[in-house]
Amino acid sequence: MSKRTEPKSYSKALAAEKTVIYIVCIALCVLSIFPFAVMFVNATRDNYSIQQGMSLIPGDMLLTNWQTLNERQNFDILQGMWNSMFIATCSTVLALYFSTLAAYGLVVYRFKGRQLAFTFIMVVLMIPTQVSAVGFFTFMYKLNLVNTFIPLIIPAIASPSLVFFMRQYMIAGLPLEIVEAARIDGSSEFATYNTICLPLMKPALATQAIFCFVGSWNRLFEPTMLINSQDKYTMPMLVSLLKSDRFRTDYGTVYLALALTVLPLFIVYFALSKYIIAGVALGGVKE
Amino acid sequence: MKKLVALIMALMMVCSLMPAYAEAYTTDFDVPATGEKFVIYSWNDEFQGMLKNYYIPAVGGTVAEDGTMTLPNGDVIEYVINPNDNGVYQQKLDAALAAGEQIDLFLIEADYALKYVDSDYTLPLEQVGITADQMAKQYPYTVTIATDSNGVVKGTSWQAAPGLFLYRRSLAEKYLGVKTPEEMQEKVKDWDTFLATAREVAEKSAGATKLIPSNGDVWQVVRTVRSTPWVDDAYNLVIDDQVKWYFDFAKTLREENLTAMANPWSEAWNAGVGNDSILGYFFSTWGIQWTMVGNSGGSKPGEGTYGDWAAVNGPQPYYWGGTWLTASSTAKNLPLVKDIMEYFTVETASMQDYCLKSKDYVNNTEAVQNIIDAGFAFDFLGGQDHYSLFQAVTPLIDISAMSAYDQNINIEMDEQVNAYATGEKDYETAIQDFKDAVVDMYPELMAE
Amino acid sequence: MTQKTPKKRHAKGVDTSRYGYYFIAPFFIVYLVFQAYPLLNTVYLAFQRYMITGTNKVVGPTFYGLKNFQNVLTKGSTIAAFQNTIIMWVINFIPQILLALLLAKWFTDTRLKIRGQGAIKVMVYMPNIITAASISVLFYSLFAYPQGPVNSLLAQVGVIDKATYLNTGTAATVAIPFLEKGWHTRLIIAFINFWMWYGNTMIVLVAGMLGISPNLFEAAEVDGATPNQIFTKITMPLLKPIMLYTLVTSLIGGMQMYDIPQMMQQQGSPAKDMTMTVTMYIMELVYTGTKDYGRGAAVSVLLFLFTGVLSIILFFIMSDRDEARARKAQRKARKGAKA
Repeated sequence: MSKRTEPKSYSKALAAEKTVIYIVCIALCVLSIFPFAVMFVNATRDNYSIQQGMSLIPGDMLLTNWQTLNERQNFDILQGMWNSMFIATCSTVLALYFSTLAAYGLVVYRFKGRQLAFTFIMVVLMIPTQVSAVGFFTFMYKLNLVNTFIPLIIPAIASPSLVFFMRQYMIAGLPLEIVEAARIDGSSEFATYNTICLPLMKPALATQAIFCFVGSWNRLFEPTMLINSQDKYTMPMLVSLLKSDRFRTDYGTVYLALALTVLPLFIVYFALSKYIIAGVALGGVKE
Repeated sequence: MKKLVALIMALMMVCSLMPAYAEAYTTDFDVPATGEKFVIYSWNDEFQGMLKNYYIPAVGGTVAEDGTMTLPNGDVIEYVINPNDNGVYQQKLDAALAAGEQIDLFLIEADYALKYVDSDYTLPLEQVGITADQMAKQYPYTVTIATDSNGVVKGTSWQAAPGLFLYRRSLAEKYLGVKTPEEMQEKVKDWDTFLATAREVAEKSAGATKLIPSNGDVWQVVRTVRSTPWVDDAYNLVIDDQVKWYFDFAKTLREENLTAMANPWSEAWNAGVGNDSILGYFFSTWGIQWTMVGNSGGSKPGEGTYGDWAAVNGPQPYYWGGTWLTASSTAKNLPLVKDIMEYFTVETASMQDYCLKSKDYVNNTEAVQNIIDAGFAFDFLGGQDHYSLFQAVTPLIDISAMSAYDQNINIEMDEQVNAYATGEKDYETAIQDFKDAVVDMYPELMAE
Repeated sequence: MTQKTPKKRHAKGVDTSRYGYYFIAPFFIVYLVFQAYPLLNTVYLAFQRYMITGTNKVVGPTFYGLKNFQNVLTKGSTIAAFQNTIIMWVINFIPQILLALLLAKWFTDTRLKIRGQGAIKVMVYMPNIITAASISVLFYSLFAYPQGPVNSLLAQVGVIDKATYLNTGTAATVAIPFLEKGWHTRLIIAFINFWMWYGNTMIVLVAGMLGISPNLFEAAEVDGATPNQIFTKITMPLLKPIMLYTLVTSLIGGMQMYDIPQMMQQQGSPAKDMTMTVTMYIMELVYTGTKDYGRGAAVSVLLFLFTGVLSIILFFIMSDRDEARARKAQRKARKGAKA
C-alpha cells in the first residue's frame, strides 16, 4: 500500500514544486525582458510620444528615427559597429587565451613563487579600475597610444578576474590525471594546454567569453578618454554623443541607437549560449 | 550651449517659409595651406554644422560624403567631439592641452569660460590678429566674459544669450485673462507678482497647469543676476542675499505646490512644452528655436503648441549660456583661426546671413538691427518679433557675479536647496553642508 | 601549499615546473607594461600634495606625508561613501546569491528536469547585456515623479491615495519622489544591481555545477543518496571554489560600484549624500572642481586596503583548503565509480 501511494504523493509534490518553479521562472523572464521591450518599442516611437508616457505598443516612426540617426553628422553606425566588434573580439580572444594560460600555469605546475603570483593577481583584482585611470591615460599620452585601439585591447591579456575564475574552475573541474596522461603520451606542455585543457574548459570559456565580450563592448569610460577621431568611435560612444546633447535629446533616435548597440550582443550571446545551455560541461572527464 | 546644429535642422523644417533667405553667401579665402590638419575641440556637433553649412560653402571648400571638411587650399578640418557628460569634455581637453597635443581652436561655455580664459591654454586674440576695434559691434558682456584678469581678450562669441520668459498664449488667456504680451509682462514683472501669478494659475486650473516647471528654472535667472560672485579675491566663499532669498522662494514654491516638479532637462520638463501642464519657461536665444520648437510637437502653426507661444521680458534681465571660440596655446594654424573667428563673430554680412538662416541670435548689434529693420516675425511665437526684445535686454545683462567656479558650485547649491525645500534639512544645516561640499570640491577656497 | 601532490614530473622524469613561469609570463608582462606605472603613480600621489585648482593653477607635487589620509578620513565624504557602498552592495548581494543558488539547484536537479532551461537562462542573463546608461534611462522613467509608471501603480493598488494622485494638480503631494530620497534611491540602485547580476551569478554557478564530474553524481545515486543529500554533500562542497570566486568578485565589483549609482543620480538630488559610492567620490575629487590628485589617490589606497582586508578574510574562511578537499573528493568518487 504505502509503496504504491508514496510515489504518487511524491510525484504530486514534485508536480507542485515544478509548478512553483515555472511560475517563478516566468516571472523572472518577464522582468528581464521588459526593458528590452520598452527599448525596442521606443525605437519605433517619436520623441514627443516617448516624452508623453511609457507604452508597449509600437509606433510607426522606426524609419524616421533611422533616417534622423543617419543624417546626424559624425554618426557612422556601421563604422561604429565595426570598431566595437573589432575591439571586443580581439580583447575577448586575447583575454580568454592568455588568462586561461596563466590559470593553467598556476594550477598545474608547482613552481617557486606560485602562491606569490596568485596573490599578486588577487591584489591586482582588488585595485579599483577608476583609481589608476588618471595615471593610465597620462601614460598612454606619453606612449603616444592615444587615439589607437591598442590601449583598449592589449591590456585585456592581463584580466585578473578571468584568471581567478579559470583557476577556481580548474581546481574543481580539471583532473590533473589527464594532464599526466597526456605527458606520458609524449604531448608537449603547450600542446597539452591547447589540445587537452582548452577543450575541457569550453563551458567555462563560453561563459567568460560572453562576460568579456559584453564588458568590452559596453565600455564607455576608457574609449571616451582615449579615442578622438570619429572614425574610431565605438557604439556606446556614439550613443553617448546622441544622448549628451541634453539641450535637445531626440529620445526616439537614442532608443534606436541603444537597440542597435544591443543587437550584436544578442547575436554573440545567442551564438555562445548554446554551449552553456547544451551542458557541454557534462563529461569533463572522459574515461 | 547647444544650439546651432539644431537650429539648422529646425531651419530645414521651416525653410519653406523663408525661401528668400536661401541664396548662397560667399566670401574670399586667402589662408595659405599648411598641409596639416586643423584641429577643433568641442562637446557637440553644433559648430561643426555651422562650418559645414555656412563657412565651408562660403569660402568654396568641400564637404565629402563622409563629412570630411576640406578647405580650398587643401587643408582638412578635424573636428573632435567629446560629450559634456560627467565632465568628459573638459577632462580630455585638459589632458590634450597638458600633453601639448595640437589643437587649433576650442570652444568653451559661459559656465566655465573663466577657467580657460584665465589660463595660459588660450591665446590673446591680438596674437591671432583680431583687434578690439573689430569686436566693437559685439555685445560688451560677451567680450567681458572672454577677458582675463589682466584685461586681455582671449575669446570671441558668435552669439549673445539674453533670456526671456516664454508663455503659452492660450493658457494665459484661459487662466489669467491675459490677451497680449504687455499684459503678461505685468503678471511677471517682479518676483512677488510672479509668485502671486503662480498661485493664480495653480488655483484657476485646479492644479492642472503650473506657471513654471520647477524652482530650478527660477535659479536659471537668479544665478545670473546675483550681485557678488561665489568666490571673492581672497578665495572666500560668498553667499549673498539673493541666494538666501532663493532658498525661501524655492521652499514656498515647493510647499504650496506651485510648480510642475519637472527639473530642468528632465523628461517631464521637455515634455511640458508640448502639453498643457506648464504655462511658461525661462529660455534664452538658442533655447527657443532649438529646445522649444523641437519639444512643441509640431513644426508649423496649428501643430502641437507651435505658434501658441509668446515672449516677454520677465522679472529680471538675465542671460543663459553662450559659447566662445578660443585659440589654443597649441595652435599651429592661426591664420585659419582668425578667418573662422572673423566669419562667425566679426563680419556683419556673414553673421547676418547666418542669423537669418539659422535663427540663432548673433553677437553683432548691426546685423541684428538690420534684421529687425527689415521686419522680423517668428511664427513659433505667433508672429512676434522677439529679436527686438533681445536687442533691448542684452545691454542690461550684468555678469559681475560670474566666476570660474560657477558650474560646480551651482550644482552643489541645487542639491542643498532641494533638501531645504522638501523639509529634509533646515536652513542652517543646508548652508553648512553646502559650504562643506564646496570646500571639499575646491580645497583652495575658504568658507568662514 | 597544504596540498600533498607528488611533485609534478614529466613522464621521462624531467621537471616541468618551469613551464609555470612561461604560462603566467604574458599576464605579468602586459600588466607591468600597461598598469604598473599608473598604479605606482597612484600610490605615490597619495603621499603628495598635488592639485590643479579651479582656475587651472598647479599646486605641487610636494611631499605631504599622511596628511591626505588624515584629511580624507576627518573631512569630506569618505566615510559616508564607504557606508553607502557597503550598504548598497549587501542589500544587492544577499538576495542575488540566494536566488542564483536556488535557480542553479533547480536547473541542475536531474529529478526535476526543468524544461525550457535554455530559454530561461538566456533571458535572465539579458539584463547584463545592456549598458548601464540605457538601464538608467529606463529606470529613470519608471520612477518618474510625480507622474510615472511606478507611482501610478502604487496609486492603483492603493498605497498612495488614488483620488489625490489622479488629480494632476495634487498628484505631487502624494506621489513619492523616489530619486530624491536617500533610502529609496539606495534600494533602487541595489535592485538594479541585483537584477543585472543574478543571471550572471546563476550561470557561473551552473557552469561550476556542470563542471563537476557526473561520475560523482552517478556514484552517489548508486549509493542511494537523495537529491538534497547530493546537493549539500557533493555539489556545495565542490562548488566552494566557484562560490568563493562569486563572492570575492562581487565584493570587489561592488566596492567599485560606479556607473549605476552615477547614472541614477539626478543633478541636484538631495539623495546624493546617501548614494555616493567610493569610486564616485574618487572621481569627484579627481575630476570635478579642483583636481585633487593627492586626496583622490589617498581614497583609492583606502578603498584598495579595505577590499584587500575583506578578501583576505574571505579567503581565510573559505580558503584553498577546499582545493585539496575537492581533489580528494574527486579521486575518491572516481575510484568509487570504478569499483
